[in-house]
Amino acid sequence: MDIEEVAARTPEKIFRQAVDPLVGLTAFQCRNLAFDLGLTGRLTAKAVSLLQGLYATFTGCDCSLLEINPLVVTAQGELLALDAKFGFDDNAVFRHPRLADMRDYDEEDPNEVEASQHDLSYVSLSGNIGCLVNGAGLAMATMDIIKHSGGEPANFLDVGGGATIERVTEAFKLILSDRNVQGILVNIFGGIMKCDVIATGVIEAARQVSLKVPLVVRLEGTNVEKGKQLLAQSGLDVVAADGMADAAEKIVRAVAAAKGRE
Amino acid sequence: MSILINKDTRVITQGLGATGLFHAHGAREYGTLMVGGVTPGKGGTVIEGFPVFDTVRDAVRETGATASVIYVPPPFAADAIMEAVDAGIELVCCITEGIPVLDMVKAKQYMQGKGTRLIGPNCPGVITPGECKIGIMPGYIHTPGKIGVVSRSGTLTYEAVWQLTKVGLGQSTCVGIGGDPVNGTNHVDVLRMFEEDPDTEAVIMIGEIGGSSEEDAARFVRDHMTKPVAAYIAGITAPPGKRMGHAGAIISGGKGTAVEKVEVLRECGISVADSPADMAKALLRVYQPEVKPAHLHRAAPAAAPAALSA
Repeated sequence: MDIEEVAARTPEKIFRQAVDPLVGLTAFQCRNLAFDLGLTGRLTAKAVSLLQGLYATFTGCDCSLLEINPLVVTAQGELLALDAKFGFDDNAVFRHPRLADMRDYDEEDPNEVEASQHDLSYVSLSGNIGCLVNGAGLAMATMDIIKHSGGEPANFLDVGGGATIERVTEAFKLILSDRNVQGILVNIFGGIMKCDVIATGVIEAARQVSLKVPLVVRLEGTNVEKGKQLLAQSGLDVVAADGMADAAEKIVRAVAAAKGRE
Repeated sequence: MSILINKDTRVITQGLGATGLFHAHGAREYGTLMVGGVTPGKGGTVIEGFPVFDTVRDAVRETGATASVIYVPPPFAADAIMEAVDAGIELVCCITEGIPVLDMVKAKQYMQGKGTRLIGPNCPGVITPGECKIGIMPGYIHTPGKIGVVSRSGTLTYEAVWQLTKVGLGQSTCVGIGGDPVNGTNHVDVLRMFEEDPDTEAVIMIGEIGGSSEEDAARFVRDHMTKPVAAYIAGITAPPGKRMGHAGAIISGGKGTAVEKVEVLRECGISVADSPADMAKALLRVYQPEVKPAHLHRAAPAAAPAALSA
């Protein structure tokens, strides 16, 4: 059964019970669901124990999704789950080491696995402009403004609060492992960290990975002028930008120009 | 004036580790009344000028704190929230990122009917420029003024604040509601406070993919707000089914896309910025400050005329 289709076509066939998290799923709620499903006689009692088991599993394993599909009534009058699908809360994996052991990394994007090992938040996309940003919201906004300026973002990457040399270097390596990347936009809102410190980190990281694609850096915050000066004097092919719009336009132009030279 | 906090707010830090201590100093330097901290087992000591208590209950009794900021690690953060609630703290800002969702579901249920407002988790905190800063945002980018800011994203809030400050528009209060799917305060809660605050004249609201907080907020603006609202929604380019950094930033089952949100916002009369670089511009399309911005606040006089004419 395709639950999305049921929801779209026959929403009246979906039955809901809201659970009070401090009380749990009660027996009467399970009976309500059993009768809603058209179960009768001994099957309703069986449904109560199945549903409460389902809820105990959901909370006990910190699930984000637990789906039995299909659930059948056998000829012998038993309720039987024929298949199930689980989703788990990443934030709660620390208290379920056995579940963590079952994780199959071969089923995941290798770059995203690599990123998670360095505490970077990374999602690969299909474009050619890599981006390195601090903060999830700003990282999404950076992808959006690249698109808005006529380019295509190659990834989402949140480097987190501490844009240190090590983290920026790992982030550059990750971005460059995507062969489609033809330019990189770094967008860091300095905040607590000073821009000259960030600029030094970006320059050092670019040297360590011997960066060959155009790099546009937008820094904002304390010591921004000092940061820009360091970038200009680095001897690297790096362009400093004023603001997000300027940064996006510059990297889109730089990538187009580099393509033109090929 | 402002919402949630002002110059008289007394604040304690829950979790005086390296991070908590660093930001407690930052807040104190900004002028916030940081009256102490809580680290179980270290009660009675003083760490770098902050008196330490074993429990929030003790800290409240001794310092008269009405607000707390939480830097406790994720496995213990929900408990820290409930401890603050039990001690009668009025405002809790939980900065911690990575709290298990089911812990937050329980904590939120525990808070029902009690007098505490929770901001966050996974947020930068709250600031009333020039008066009080609770959280991790850089204080110097803010200017006192009349614009309220509410956002699910930290650095994107800084971006909006920076744009406002550069065009000479100060902020009344900036609230980061956080990037988690289960949070204490949503867009509507904050918009309602801004609408009632006599010193907020207009609002910038920042949202992102996932959930329906922005859609609810848009309908609230249409039905209940008299003040102009501008908005930006991040994630137009985000692919479905992928979590974009924040636990709550995911398009699931085709729901929660940026396009959908922008549409609802526009239908409800909100000025939406197409580009994150134009958040202040989007506000100026619907809001004309009575006094010329450049003369309102002296903090950013040089930048104002150039940015306005751009």
